[in-house]
Amino acid sequence: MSEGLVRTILISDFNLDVFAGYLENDPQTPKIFPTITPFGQVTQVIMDKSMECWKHSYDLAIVWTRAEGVINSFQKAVDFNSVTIEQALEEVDVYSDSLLRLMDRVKILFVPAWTMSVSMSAYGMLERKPGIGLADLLSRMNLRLAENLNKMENIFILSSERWLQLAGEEAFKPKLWYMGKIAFGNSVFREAVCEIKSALTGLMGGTKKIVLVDLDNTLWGGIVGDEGWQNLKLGGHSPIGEAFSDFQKGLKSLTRRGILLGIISKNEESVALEAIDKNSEMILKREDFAGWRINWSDKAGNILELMEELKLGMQSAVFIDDHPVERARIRDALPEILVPEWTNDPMLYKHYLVNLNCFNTPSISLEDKERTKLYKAEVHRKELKKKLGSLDDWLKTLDIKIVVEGINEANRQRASQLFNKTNQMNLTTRRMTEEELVDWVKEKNRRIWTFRASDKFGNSGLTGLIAIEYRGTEIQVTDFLLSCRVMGRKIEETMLHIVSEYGRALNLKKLTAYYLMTKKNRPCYLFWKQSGFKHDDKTDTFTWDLRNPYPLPDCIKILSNGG
Amino acid sequence: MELSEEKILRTIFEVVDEVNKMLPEERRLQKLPDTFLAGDSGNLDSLGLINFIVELEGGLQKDFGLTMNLIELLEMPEEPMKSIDRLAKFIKAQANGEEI
Repeated sequence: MSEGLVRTILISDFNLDVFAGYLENDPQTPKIFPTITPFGQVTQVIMDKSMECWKHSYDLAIVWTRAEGVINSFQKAVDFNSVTIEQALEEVDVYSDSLLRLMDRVKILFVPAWTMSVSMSAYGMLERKPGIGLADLLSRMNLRLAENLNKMENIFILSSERWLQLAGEEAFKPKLWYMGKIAFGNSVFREAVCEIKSALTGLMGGTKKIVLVDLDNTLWGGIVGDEGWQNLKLGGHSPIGEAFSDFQKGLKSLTRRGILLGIISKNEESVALEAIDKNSEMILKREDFAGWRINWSDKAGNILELMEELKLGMQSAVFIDDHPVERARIRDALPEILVPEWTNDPMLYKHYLVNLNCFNTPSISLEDKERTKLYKAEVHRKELKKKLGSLDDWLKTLDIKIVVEGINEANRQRASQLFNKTNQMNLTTRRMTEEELVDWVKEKNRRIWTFRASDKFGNSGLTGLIAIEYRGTEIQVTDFLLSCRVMGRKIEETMLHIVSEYGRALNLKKLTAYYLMTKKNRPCYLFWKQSGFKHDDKTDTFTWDLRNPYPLPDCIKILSNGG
Repeated sequence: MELSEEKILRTIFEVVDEVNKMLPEERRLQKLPDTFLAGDSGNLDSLGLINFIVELEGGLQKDFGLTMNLIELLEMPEEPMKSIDRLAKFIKAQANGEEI
């Protein structure tokens, strides 16, 4: 899947022409190039590889069907015929198997969950009665479909019920169905496009990583500097206070998915922090924020500083501020930052946050859940760094320990995440799914090492990965990835040390790495430039003569090398 | 209150904006009264026309509380769907109870 264009095949039992038009014309990246297959021929399209549509390759397949269109038992149930749950589930199993077969032709499969049409709910109060109601049957079928398709990690069931809710009365238009076999109103297709784009952005490593929030009238009601922390509108029994609390809860829940929070506010720092610490209605505590800039300076400059401190690229941030002027300033000064238009009604804040559609990730790992903690540890390291002299001296005080491992069942999800999320310290920015990763490393001449780092402040988790391929007497580094959280702590050099020792043990002669420039990976280039490797400017290739050992940095202790 | 052609055109142009979002660039409709819709020189294929009509029915309901069944226009000999201005005139006449 290239950064520019996602080739997509659309398979359905209803007419998807309108949906395809929206998909193709949507201005948001990534751009999608859809191919529509004849509707109503779902099984034929999936099973018959000789069909014209399969002469091309696709990154993505979207198989969007109506339950009554592909599961015969469900159609019978809609018509009030007697159907057992088991019969329907057996058909779902067969249908799931056919979907799994698609995975030899596409990299990713999106399957919108089956939904009920309003014209179906005829059982009234029996709709949820097991063995009778259609809603009950459809829930079971969706659950079975999800369980069956969960066998492969590149298949995602999309929650289409939400698109229908957002579309409201516009969700179904009988005229579109009778005249054009279009199952949903245009609003549903528009919501689907939004979600699909968001999911693809997540899969391509473009998920937002941090939400930068203002304080006064954004995180709480009122101006803390004027009104005092005791008088802020937050929590309690007032509707507005409750709305601000809910917004904070929404932000807090993002931190559990690995999204960081930062504060960018024009205030006296001591006054604002006092409010955070002392106001008992605050849902968000000081430790929920990875960092902050609370002062009277330009917010754009403050954001630059904070993002530099956290080693995050501007494209990974969302900025939320109630003040339109501040929003305009950031849009103008830092166009890479997502600055959503914001409502001035606090009761809608949570709704706006939930519908931002920019935090989609293909998986959630333990590291994600603890990311704020990890970044907080990083800030403590920084504070220590300021007090100390040279970098090497500082690094020695950290007591950095590294565990090196190959790819295994326990770490491959996180390893794949590193492939797909790392932008800055990334040699070639090759994206790989978990399965592609496992397949790739099966070849005898390929190896992958993962690196877990810890120091006296805490465990950073699996943060580094190096992949190599060797031919003849030469090793080529195909991937060199390091989380920006731990950049500059000599873990980079440790990774090269491990690979060079491996090559030397095999009596190989040369270690090379070809740098592939992207918009974001200049930090990687800068590291390799000063790594001691010989650099060929014309080809951007770095070379190390394996007759010489590549030294392990003094400040690093390798606890175990299971690679 | 009598519905003006100008107001109806405004609603039609909003529908044009929406329909254009699903059309390839070379087939997008211009927001001009003489833009052809249906027929030999029309810019919309059958599916495009269906979508246009359903969107327009929704727009007329939303903007003026007007419930109209426009699907029938596809079969009418006067060809009200031929161009945007013909369509606007037809809707105005229907809404105001005028002779077509």
